[in-house]
Amino acid sequence: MSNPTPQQSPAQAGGWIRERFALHALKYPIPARANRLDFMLGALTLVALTLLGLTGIVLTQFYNASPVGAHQSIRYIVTTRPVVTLLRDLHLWSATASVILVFTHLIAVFWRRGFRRPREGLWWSGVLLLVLLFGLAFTGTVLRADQEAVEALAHAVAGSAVVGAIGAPFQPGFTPSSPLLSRMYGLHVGVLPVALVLLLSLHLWLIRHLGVSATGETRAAFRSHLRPLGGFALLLVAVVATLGVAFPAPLLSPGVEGFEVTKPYWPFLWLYAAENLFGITGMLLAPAVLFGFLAIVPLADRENGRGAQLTRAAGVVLFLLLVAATLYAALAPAQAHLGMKM
Amino acid sequence: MARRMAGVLATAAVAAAVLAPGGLVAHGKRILKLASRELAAGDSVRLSGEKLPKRSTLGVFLIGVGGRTRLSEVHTDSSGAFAGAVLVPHDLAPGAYRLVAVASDGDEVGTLDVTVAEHQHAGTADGADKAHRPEGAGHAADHADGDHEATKGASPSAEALELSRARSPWVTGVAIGVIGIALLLGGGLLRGGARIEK
Repeated sequence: MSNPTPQQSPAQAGGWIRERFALHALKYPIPARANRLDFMLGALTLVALTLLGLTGIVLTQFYNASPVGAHQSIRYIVTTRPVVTLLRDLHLWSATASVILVFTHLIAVFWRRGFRRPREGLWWSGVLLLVLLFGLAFTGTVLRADQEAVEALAHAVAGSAVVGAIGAPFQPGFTPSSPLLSRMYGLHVGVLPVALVLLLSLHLWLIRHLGVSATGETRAAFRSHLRPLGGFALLLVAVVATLGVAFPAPLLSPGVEGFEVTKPYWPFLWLYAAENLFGITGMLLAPAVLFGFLAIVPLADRENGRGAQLTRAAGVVLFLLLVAATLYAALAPAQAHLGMKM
Repeated sequence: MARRMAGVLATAAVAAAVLAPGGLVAHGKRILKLASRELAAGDSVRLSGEKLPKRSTLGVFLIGVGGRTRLSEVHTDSSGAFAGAVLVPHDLAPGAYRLVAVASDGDEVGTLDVTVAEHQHAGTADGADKAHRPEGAGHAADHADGDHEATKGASPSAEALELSRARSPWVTGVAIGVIGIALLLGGGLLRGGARIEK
């Protein structure tokens, strides 16, 4: 086909684009059942992550990643830059949406046993993506340099001291040349996003070649999947933007070390509950239990295996515990840990 | 010739004011003064301010690469002035710092760049405190009498700051427009998607 000219019809121009960008590859068959919302939660998480990335890129232009200027730079954004402060609000709500969507996606895949052979790698890459998402949420919280951030960082420092050499980079004295906050910024905008993109690429590659775990004989072209997916994605953007406009991202007063008067960002409330009940050991053991369980799920629940019911029951119990711990932490009075004052 | 001389003298006067050993920084009309920009860990130093928010409580912090250390809390009078002494914690790492006075809403009302030298000896704090404490020193001096006292002050808060958010009718209008378009397009695509299912 020749290059498009002004005389070409839109259909001809569309054909030119399809050929150049190999869009015919989107015609591959998928189960028609995959056009349901519960099979689009992963893709919607990707939409939320894309929003996070785009808004984050703008925020990096205004944020000062030094302990001296971090809080003041956010204050500057909030009080003087209407567009950037709105993007910051969208950044927070996109993070919230991505956490909710990824957990819903996890539950849906767990329930329909989408981790079974040959999709174990798909599941494990998803679990690692969840870990990275928690890492991004944590480092993002810390960057605010407000009271909640200082307390979160104090917990990371205490936790990293317990785990020894692995936790050394989270110690303030790891290097005198760069403050811990700046290193957290490096993680948030560099290391973790790169790892996320690499793992996402693997995850998408595996989905493309192993297929989604939907049952049923009826097939549809993947291209038809993009239409409802686009619809849900636009609704997600509308919801995130509405929340951003209606409920702007808060900023607490500059953080003072040695005090604990706040509770963490809500996805970490279950860890707060574990620390309330069992101290720092609980705070470290709770994620080890959750992610350890998620890691062994494909090994414990195999087709024709005896562990299927037990694995499902354990998953349900763990999920209920997670919800209960989050509710308990949200409702319980604030509590100081690690010898900090209230 | 006389005009050139006057220019040189004026420039020199401005330079002398800026480079004077004691800090004097004005933020608009706000002034924060420090007896010396070169501090020593464990030392006490006179700090005063003028034309600051009237009858307000200010937190005084040292901010360095290791984080933020609360030194004290001061109260301004009806003219927006205060005078007192602040104690530099004896275990503070040497280096470059920014001394900031922060209002209760989190606004930095004054800031000075300072350097902190290593702690000299255990007796320095008390001695220096007595030597530097001015007559009639206020709340800051009252609290600057020990390392633990140095971190006292207004309690850290879990409440969000009530900031005067930057707003623009254009930005809000565009945001609402984007929300509306996303809802319409999204709804339209979903209706189309349902037809494909059939």
